[in-house]
Amino acid sequence: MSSTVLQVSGLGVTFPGLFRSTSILRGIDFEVAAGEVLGLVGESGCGKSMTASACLGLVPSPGLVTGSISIDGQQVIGRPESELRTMRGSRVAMIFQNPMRSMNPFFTLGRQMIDVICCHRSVSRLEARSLALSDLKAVRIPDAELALEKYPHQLSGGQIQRALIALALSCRPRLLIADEPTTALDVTVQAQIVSLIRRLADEKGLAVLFITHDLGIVSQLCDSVAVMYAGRIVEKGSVEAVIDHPLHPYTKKLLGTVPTIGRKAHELVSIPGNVPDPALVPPGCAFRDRCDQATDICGETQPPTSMFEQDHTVLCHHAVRARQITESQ
Amino acid sequence: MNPASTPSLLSVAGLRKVYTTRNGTIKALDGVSFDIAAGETLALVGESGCGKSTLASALLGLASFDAGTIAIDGDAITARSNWTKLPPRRDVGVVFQNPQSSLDPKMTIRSIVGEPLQMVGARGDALTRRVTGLLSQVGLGPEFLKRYPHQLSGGQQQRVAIARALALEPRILILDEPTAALDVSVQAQILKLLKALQVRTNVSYLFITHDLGVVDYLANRVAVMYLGRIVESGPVADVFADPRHPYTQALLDAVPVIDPSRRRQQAPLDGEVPSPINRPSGCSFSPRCRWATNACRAHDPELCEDGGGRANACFHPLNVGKSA
Repeated sequence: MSSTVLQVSGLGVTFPGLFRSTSILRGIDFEVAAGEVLGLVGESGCGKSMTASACLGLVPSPGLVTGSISIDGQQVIGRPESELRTMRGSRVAMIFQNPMRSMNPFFTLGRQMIDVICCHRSVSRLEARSLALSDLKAVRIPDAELALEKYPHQLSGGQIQRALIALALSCRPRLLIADEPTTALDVTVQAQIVSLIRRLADEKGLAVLFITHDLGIVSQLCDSVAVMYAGRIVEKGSVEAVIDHPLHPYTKKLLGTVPTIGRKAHELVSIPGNVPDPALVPPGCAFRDRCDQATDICGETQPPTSMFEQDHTVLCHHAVRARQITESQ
Repeated sequence: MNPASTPSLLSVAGLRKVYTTRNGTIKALDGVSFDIAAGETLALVGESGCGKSTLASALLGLASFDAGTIAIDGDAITARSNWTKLPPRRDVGVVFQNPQSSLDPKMTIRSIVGEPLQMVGARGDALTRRVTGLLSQVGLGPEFLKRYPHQLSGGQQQRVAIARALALEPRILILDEPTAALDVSVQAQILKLLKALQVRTNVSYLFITHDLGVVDYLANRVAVMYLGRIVESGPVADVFADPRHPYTQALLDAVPVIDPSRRRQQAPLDGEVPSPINRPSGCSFSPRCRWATNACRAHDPELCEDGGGRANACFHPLNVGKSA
């Protein structure tokens, strides 16, 4: 029985405007247990990164956050900034997309790591140095001793990303939020980072919220996956259930758009149209205009959440029918 | 498509480019040779720093090169033949990775797509008609003529960039990661468009990418680059089904596959692409290769023909006995 580390329920983020307000997130529910890797997938502008910011209490003003986010039993929303500061880094850590921009180019890797460790734990700089060293070794940086003395520009993108993971984990957080950590890296290095994150989740019981747009990585790395569209999670469940038997038409199409080696060329699906403007999301189902199974009801009411076995949830009016079709095949 | 039977439209032979820096010389391109036939797509694959983009700049005349020849339909230019003699640019179009930075934000779509046409004397109504025609080729209506790039989505911007590249009816289009900045659903639209355009106009593509799935969808032949050299080339289906060079195999293994049952198989390739400044002796892949022997570290393998239009640069090619 694994314990829940991150629990998000009814999360909404709205930016008030002069004439109309823009809802970026419109009711997000998910949870991540210790040792679990949850993949959050979606196209740009669907609210993936805003979900991550909300979990860290970093929604920029004047954004209004509603709902509940609890990390290790502690509520994030409404907590004073000073308490959030101690929480960030010690309980929750985050790694970002572009490793080069996450480090200060003026200081050595060692200096930056020691600063962070001293800030969160009551240790001397010398002790912090040896902690940093062992953390770097844990993420398998070659010549860790030497790497501590190097400036960020002297390290490669893959090494910096490893160092950032080491830095993120140096204060033993329970939850790691990774916002597209491999997008800026080459495929062979990406494979190394993905296997590193998997190992950390398995060995240290780290809960990971992995944000990506690459369904391939999700299927290689994650235990469960949540597919987002226009500020809502439209399908959620174990990787096997969602990838092998997708029930939401958006998930089905998204899987079809990825060109895969060895698949017949004519099978490539393209989704017509674009993601709706968050300020002008149509009533009813947000995917209706791009969906080929849409009926009148899709334009009128917000689809209910349909539950299937193993916590596989789908936000679609036609999910039950889709399920019957899949089963009969 | 067999390069021996069809005359090649673009032929590159022994292309070399060396950058001299304070820390030493960088061989960005170290003897690159390939051919592209009319209506064919050659995909150029490799990780960052392997020379893909330097090669594109050399073909476009944006960078000089130190040795070798670039011939377009027999019209060859050689290195240092004359600084002013650029490749026949009208025959080569280009689409860059990020449409937001390759379209001028102060120009309307009409002037962006019409600019190359003005170079050849088109003006007024004739220009508008031609631009409308080009836009309809890429699936955009005439209502886009007066819009500015920021009013368009990423996919529409990339369509405009493709329309501009096609304006002078080039015979070769260099596509430098044209879908890397786009979402997958939009990427699929652009890939379908590129395929349809090729069928209609018989234009050749040099497709630079690091996404092997896209290669399999769009390309006829593939060339894998590592540290400024082509290490393996051949028809896409053959190379991907049965890679000969260990680096090609490693790249294929590193691609995340959408198939949860194939999860957590083997340890990925160790190490990273070495810096081109201190290139390893012998085969440049040998420090990362699990099959490397002393011969690999001492001598440099040449790109050798392998039958079936394939070639590889490896002393110990994989799977040779299997297919023979």
